[in-house]
Amino acid sequence: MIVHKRRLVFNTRLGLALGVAAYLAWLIRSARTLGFCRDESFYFDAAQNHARWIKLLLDSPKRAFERGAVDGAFSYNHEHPSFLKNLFGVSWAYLHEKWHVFDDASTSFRFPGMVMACLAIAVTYSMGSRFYGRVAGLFAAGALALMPRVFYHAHLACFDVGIMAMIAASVWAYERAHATGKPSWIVAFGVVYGMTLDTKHNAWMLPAVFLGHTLVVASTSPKVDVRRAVRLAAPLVSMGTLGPLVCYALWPWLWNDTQPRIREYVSFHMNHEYYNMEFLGRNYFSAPSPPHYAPVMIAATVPTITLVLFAVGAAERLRSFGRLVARRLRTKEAQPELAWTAVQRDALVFAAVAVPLAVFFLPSTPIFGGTKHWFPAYPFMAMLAGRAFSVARARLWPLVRSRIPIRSGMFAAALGLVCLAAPLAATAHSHPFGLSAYVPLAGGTRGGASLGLNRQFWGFTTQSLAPFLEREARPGERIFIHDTTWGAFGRMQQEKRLRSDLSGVGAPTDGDLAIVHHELHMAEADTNIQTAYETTTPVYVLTHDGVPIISVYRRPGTRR
Amino acid sequence: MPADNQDGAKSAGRPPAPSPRPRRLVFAAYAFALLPVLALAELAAHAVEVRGTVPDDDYKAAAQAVGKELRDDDLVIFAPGWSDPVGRMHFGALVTPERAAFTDVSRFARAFEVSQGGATRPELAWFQPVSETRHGSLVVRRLDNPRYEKVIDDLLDHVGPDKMTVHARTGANDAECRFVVGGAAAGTWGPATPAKRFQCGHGHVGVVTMPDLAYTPRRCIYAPATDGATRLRITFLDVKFGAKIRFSHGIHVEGERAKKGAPVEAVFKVPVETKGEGEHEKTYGRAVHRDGDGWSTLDVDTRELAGNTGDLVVELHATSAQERKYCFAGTTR
Repeated sequence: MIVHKRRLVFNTRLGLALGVAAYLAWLIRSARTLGFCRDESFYFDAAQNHARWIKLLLDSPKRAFERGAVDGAFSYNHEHPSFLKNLFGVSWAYLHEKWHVFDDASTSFRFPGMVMACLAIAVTYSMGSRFYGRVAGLFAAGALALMPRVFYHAHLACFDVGIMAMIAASVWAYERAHATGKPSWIVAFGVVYGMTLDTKHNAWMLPAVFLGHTLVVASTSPKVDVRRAVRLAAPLVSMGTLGPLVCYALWPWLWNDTQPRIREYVSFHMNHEYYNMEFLGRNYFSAPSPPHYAPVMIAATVPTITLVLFAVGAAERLRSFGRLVARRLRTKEAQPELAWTAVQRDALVFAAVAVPLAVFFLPSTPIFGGTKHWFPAYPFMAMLAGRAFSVARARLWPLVRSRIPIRSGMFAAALGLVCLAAPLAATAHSHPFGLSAYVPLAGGTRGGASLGLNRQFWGFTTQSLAPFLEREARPGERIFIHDTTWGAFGRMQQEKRLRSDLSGVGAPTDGDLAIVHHELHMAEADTNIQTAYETTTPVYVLTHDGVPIISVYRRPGTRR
Repeated sequence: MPADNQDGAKSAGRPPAPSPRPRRLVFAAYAFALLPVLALAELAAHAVEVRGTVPDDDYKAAAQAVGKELRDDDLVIFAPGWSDPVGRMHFGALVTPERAAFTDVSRFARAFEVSQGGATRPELAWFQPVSETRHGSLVVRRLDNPRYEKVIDDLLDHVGPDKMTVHARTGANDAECRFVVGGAAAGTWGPATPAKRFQCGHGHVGVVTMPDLAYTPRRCIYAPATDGATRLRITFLDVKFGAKIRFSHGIHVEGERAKKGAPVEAVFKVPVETKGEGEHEKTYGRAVHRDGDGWSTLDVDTRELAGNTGDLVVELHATSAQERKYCFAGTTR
C-alpha cells in the first residue's frame, strides 16, 4: 500500500514536471512571435547593466563595491528593485552571450520570467496538493498556467509574473515555516520574503496576509502557551528582519544613500502617475478608479470554468468552516485540532486571494496596468478551483463508475481535460494578442471591444505587422512607430523580427508610413494622422478576430 | 481534512429517521455534473466566437453595393464602432472625412449602416430603417433620417484665403493671421497642424480631425482661444444664409478632460447696415463651451437673413488660453 502510494506521488510529480517542462517549452517556442513591450525595452538595458556589474563583481570584487561602479550599474530604472533584472542579466550573459543556448538575446532576457511562471505553477501544485489533495493541486497548476493573461505576461522580461511567483513562494515558505516550526524553514521564509521585496512593491502587502493568518491561528488553537507563541511569532520575526536585509543585500542601489533612496522608491510607488485605461467605454486617467474594475476584468479575462470552480471551492471551504463553528457551538466541546488546521490553511489561502485584490477596490488606486497587478491572487484562486475540481470528481465518480467501466485515475484525467479544454483553447488562441483577448463570457476579442474594454497597451503588437511591412514597405522607408519605444523597435530589427532597413520616426509627418496602436485614448494619433495625411483610409489594418489592433496609413505621394 | 464530510450527529434515544442524505448526495452529484457541461459550453462558445471574423470579400461586396447608391448627403457608418478602421480601409474614398468624423448627423438625409453581428450605432437611434441587404456576414442597412436638414453652406468649405479671414483683435489692435500651405505636422498627442491653415501668433486656425471629450473624432475648424485680452475673429465671406446656423463645438480631449479650463465663448455676428446705426455688426447669438460639455450643438436663429449672402463673423474669447484647444463646425440650413 505504501509502495503504491509512493509510486502515485512519484507519478504525479513526474506528470507535473513534464507538464511544467512542456509549458516552459511552449513559452520559449512562442516567444519569437511576441513583440517587445515598452517596459521590456527598459529592463533589457537595465539587465545588461546589472550583468556587467555582476561580471565585475566576479572579476574584480573590490572595484565592484566602489560607489561609482554600483551607482553606474544600478541607477538606471532604479524605481524597480533589482532581483529579476539581475536574473535577466545573468541569463543574457550566460545563456546568450557565453553559451549561445538562445539565439535571440531577448529570449535569454525573458527566460527567467518564464521560469518564474513555472515556479508559480509548481508552488500552486505543491500548496494545493498539500492543502486539498493531489488532484486539486494538479488541476490548480493547470488552471493557473491556462489563464490567457498569465500566459502573455509569462513571456516577458517584466516583473508581474515574477512577483506572482515570488509571492506564492513566500506564502508557501511561510506555511512550511509555520507548519514545521523548523529553524531552517523559518530562515528560508525570511530569505524568500526578502527576494520578494526585491522583486516588486506588491510584496509590501504580504505582511497583512501573514499577520492575519497568525492571528487566525492564535485564535483557533486550543491553547497558546509561551512555546507556541514563540513558534507562531518566529516566521514573522524572520520576515521582519531577514526580509529587509536580504532585499538590501540583493539591491545594490540601496547600498549608497540608503534612507533617501528607500524614501524615493516608496514615494515613487505611493504617488504613481495614472495612465490611460479604457474600461466599459470610458477612458480613466485619474482618481477615483471604479471599484468594479477588478471584478469585471477578472470575469472578462479568466476562463469562466476556472472562476466558477474557484467560487464553488471557496463556497465549499466557507461551508466547511460554518459547519465546524456550528458544531462547536452545538456540542460545546473542542473540535479536533485537525479540523482547525484545515480552517487555518483555508484562512491563509483566502487571505492570499483577498489581500492582493483588496487594494484594487480602493478608489485611489490607479488602474494603469490592466489585470497584471493582481496576478498574485491567481495561484490561490486556482488552488480553490482545484479544491472544487477535486470535490466534483469525488461526487461524480460514483455516478460514472456505475455506468462506464473506467478507472478512477482515467476519469479524473478525462474530467480535468474537459475542464481545462476551454482555458487551453482560449490561451492558445490569444497569442500573440494576449492583451486584446477576452474569454467567451465577455464575447471573446470582439465582445471585449464591444464592451469597451482595453484593447492593448505597451505597443508590443508592432511586430505582428512584419508580414505587411515585408510585402508593402519600400526599402529604407520611414515609419512612425507610435506607442513602441525606440529600444523595442530597435531590438525587433536587430533580431530580424522586423525589416532592418526601415527607420523609425517619432512623428507621423516624418514618416512614409504611420501606425496607430488602437486604444481609446490613442484616437488622438489616429485623427492626427488623418489630418496630416489628408486621408481617412488606412492601407492596412492588423486585426485579431476581426478587431483592429493596428492601423497603418501611408503618406500621400509615397505610393509603393 | 476537517469534519466537513459528516452531516451532523444523530440524537440519541430517538428512532433513526429515514436519512435524506443519499438523495441529497445524488442531487449534489448531478449539480456537480453541470461543471463539465459549463466547461464544454465555454469551449463551444470560444469555437463559435473565433470563427465570426468578417472576410475581406464581404467588405468589398458591401462597399460596391453602397457605392452604387451613395449620394453626397448620405452617411456611411460602421457598427460596432470598433470596426470603423477596417470599414474605412475597405470603403476607401466612400468614407470622406466629413463622414468619418461627422459633427452632426442631421445633415445626412440617409445613412448606410454597415453592420456585423447585429450591432447598431446609437447615433442613428431615430433613423428609420428602409432596406437591408446581406453581404456574407455583413448587413448593410439603409436608413432615412426623419430629422434631416439640407445644408445650404458649410463653414468648413470656407477655410482658405478667398473665403475666410482670421484676425486676433486686442483692443484697437488687429493682427491678421496669414494663410499658409504646407508643413503639416502631427505628433502622438495634441491637435495636428493641417497643411492649409491661417497662421496666427498664438497658433493656427484650420480644418482638423480631432477627438472630442469622448474620443469621438470630429472634423472641425481648429481655433485655439487666445489670451484673455484678445479675441479671435474669424470672418467667413459670402456665406449663404438660411433660417439657422447649426453650430457645434468642443475642445480637444487633452484640453477638456481635466476640466480646469476657462469657458470659451463664441459670438456670431453679421455685418449689417441700418438707417439708425449705419454699418455695424449685429449679434445673432452666442455659444459658451464649458469643460465637461463635450461635443455640443446649438442653433443660431438667422431667419431674417434667410436667402441672403453675407459675411459671418465668429468671435472667440476665453479668459485664459490655457489648454483651450477649441474646435467648431457650422452649417447654414
